[in-house]
Amino acid sequence: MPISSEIFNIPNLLGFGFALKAFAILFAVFYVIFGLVIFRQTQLMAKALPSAISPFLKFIAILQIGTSLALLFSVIGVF
Amino acid sequence: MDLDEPQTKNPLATFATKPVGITFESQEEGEQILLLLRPHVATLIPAILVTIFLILVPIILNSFLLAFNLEITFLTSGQSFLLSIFWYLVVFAYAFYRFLFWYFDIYILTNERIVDFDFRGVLNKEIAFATLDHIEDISPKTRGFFGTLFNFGDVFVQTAGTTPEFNFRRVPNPDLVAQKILEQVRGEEEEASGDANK
Repeated sequence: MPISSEIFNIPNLLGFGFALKAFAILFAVFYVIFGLVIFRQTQLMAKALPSAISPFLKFIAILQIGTSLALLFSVIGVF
Repeated sequence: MDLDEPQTKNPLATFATKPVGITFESQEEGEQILLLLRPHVATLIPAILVTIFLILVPIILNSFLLAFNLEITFLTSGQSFLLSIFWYLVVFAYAFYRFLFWYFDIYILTNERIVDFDFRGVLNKEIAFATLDHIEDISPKTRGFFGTLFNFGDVFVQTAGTTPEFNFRRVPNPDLVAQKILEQVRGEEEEASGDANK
């Protein structure tokens, strides 16, 4: 039994694709902000307590920002 | 666990005596880290279980749809793929966040003082110090099933300083931690009385 978007009654107003795109962009924007906050937090923590894995943690935090930006641009382009 | 064991090289250690490669902000010249503590690994179990569950959610959902012969027609394959990426990014963010706050939840005993690093919530840093001569009372507490099973608990340190009480939360070997702090406090007292007698 196929589940169609009509079940959710979303497409009647704006179209399901549009709603999904709006959600995706909003999500990606929030994720970019979250990534920036986590990066700053990692910097603060690593400054207070430098350790062997601090550079690695900072790298992960940067990677997260990069991924979120890539996602944001791809969301704008994909749909 | 022998406290007099040599330097700990493991950067993820929860009970590290004289840890190698670790310094901290405002560490004074000649000040040596004797003991570095972070919450016991067992305290990460709920976060690990939640992460595993979140990783499995799309797989479970997919199995459910297949089992009931349901088919999602309103999403293109590209959209489904993107939603999966969203999901796993959220899972990764959650896991990374939890790890970060566990890793940097640190308590330090040096030859001069005790230090408590508090990073509660995002972009919030609080560091509390108490010199050894200000420490008045130390009480280790092991509570609950998991605390007893994995031997972790809280160590309450009462001081005469601006921060009246330090709470080393869910650290491994609380009795040993209290003993080590007490040894340092006694050493400091003997040093001070020796200086006074001169």
